[in-house]
Amino acid sequence: MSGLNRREFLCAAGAAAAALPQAARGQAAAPSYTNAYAILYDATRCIGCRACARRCREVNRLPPEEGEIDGVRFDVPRQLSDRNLMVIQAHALDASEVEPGRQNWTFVKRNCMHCNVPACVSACPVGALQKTDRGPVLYYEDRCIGCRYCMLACPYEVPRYEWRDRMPRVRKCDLNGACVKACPVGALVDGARKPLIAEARRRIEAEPGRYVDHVYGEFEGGGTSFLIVSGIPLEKLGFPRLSPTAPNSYAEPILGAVPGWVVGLALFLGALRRLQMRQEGPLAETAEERA
Amino acid sequence: MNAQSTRFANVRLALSLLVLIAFGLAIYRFYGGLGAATNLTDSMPWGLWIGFDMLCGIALAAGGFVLAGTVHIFGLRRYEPFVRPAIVTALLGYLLAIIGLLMDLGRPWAIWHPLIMWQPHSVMFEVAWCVMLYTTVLFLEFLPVLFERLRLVRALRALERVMIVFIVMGIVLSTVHQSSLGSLFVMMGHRLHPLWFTPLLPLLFLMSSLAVGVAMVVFEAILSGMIFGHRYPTRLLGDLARALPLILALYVGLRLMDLNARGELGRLLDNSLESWAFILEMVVGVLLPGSLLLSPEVRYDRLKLFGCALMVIVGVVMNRLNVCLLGMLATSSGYMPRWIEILVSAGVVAGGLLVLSTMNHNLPIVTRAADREATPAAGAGTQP
Repeated sequence: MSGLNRREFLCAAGAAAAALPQAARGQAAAPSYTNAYAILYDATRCIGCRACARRCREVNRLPPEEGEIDGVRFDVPRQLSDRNLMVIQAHALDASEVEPGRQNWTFVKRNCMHCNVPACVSACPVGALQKTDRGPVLYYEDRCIGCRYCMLACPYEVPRYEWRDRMPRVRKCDLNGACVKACPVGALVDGARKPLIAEARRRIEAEPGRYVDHVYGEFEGGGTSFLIVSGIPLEKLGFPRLSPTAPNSYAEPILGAVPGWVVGLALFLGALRRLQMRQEGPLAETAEERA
Repeated sequence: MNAQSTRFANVRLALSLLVLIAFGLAIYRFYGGLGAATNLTDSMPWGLWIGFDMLCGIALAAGGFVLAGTVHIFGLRRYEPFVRPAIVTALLGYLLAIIGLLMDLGRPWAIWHPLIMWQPHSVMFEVAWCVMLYTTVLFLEFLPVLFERLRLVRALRALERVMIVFIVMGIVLSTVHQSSLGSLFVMMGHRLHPLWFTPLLPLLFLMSSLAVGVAMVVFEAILSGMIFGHRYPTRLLGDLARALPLILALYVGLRLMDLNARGELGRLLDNSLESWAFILEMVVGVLLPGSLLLSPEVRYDRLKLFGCALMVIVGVVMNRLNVCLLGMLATSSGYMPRWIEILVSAGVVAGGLLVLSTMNHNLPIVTRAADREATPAAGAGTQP
């Protein structure tokens, strides 16, 4: 080592760093939450009555979003918000956009998807969002610092904020199942995740003309606890097309590299400094101490 | 001279006024909530206070670790006069970013939660710890200035004996922090425009912080020379600026390779808001200063050098705003900072400038550097 000068050391260190094999971190298999609580929403059965939305307001003590329909005051929730933790939307497509013979419009229920590997949970710096073993992704306001990173990280853009509030919270669905009990036509059913997926598949196989051959949420972003079957591909209704890998697949390896980087860089800088001092000789060292 | 001191007083008065206004508006923000004071929405949850105060504040503080490393690790002792001003600016930059963060957090009273509520899988957790640790380290690196002023000779000696530990810690923490601000956005592929979204964001943020660190030191040295009448050797600054073309060339190469690899190179010709913003950012911040600074005539001319440093700084500010705000516009319902957001940010910057000028008057920051310059022997003989 003593034979090295600073320049040689730099070259050697650079070569060593470049030769380091890129640590191929295989994506850990996402937990499948086989027996966790889940909800299956069948968009083809939904009649858009919004009994679920009304029950959601009651359970969460939220006021209706006042508006007018044909001059009559009415509850008109259009988007998710801090007061609409779920909404039923109607989407009409051009007839050319759907397969011939299919209905070109549908209702769709939007709320938190309760991902198996939630982006919001991995984004939150204080664990204010947590995926519970029983299924739901829950928000703990006592922990929250209000950075709103969860809102930006969620691929479904679900978490909403109480902008008008002095002590604001993030608001979203907590998968309490109240909407399921309110549904009069069985468009919503709940149960363990695996049997629900089987049920969804059974429906699709029984009536292939009625459904798109896809259970949305079975694999999306590692899978979700809110599953949807529909007659129109959900990607056409603004739902994201997600790969089965978890959405934090970039952030995880980057974070994983940090400890190594910290130790490596500190050692490198320390060694460089020592070589530096040796080259300058004791004179420079004392001169520096005087400074 | 007299006219200059009145102008000085006027500037200070204007800055104080801005701070006062910002203070009043801050009270309004905490009384009425974020919705009353800002134009933030559910589709655009981060605005000017994160994009400018936080991201730009931290980036522009990079001079501290870049210079500390140049002088104390790589042993280029000639640049030592610039270390102290750079450390002071970095400390102020971090404090201002923290003030901006306090304004922006929905629950700022809980800002200490990451200390005890650990969630190491979160990039934001990493960012929070970096801010806390590096601000502490910066304060320790700044302490010698105070000790010198208060003539605490023994404390000063004791501190300088262990200072190298803090310097190494500061550099390591800085690289982690600068890059982690880029990592924040690698989870936003569904929101951020493909011209800026890439898994390489942490590396790009780190590289641009190196460039802007050098540029800030040059910019500040020339500016404070103009204002306070100190004279820095343009020669030394020009030598320092030699690093810029190299960093900027690597940076632009990396960005183009990344665009190409992701198959998004064609978007440069989109003729969209995003494509023009990207081109402007690259031309003003990277290509122009990078190529101009290759010529010694530019590097060793005070005003031209100043202009180039300014371009690099503006380029990095544009980059951070593009990543955090402009690149998110297309997927949101739109955002334009409210006047309250702008005035608060202006007040925060004004406060920083006021503190900086007060410190420059009363603490041995630039004066020491000027003394050094008078005895050139101190810095000579360490050329590689």
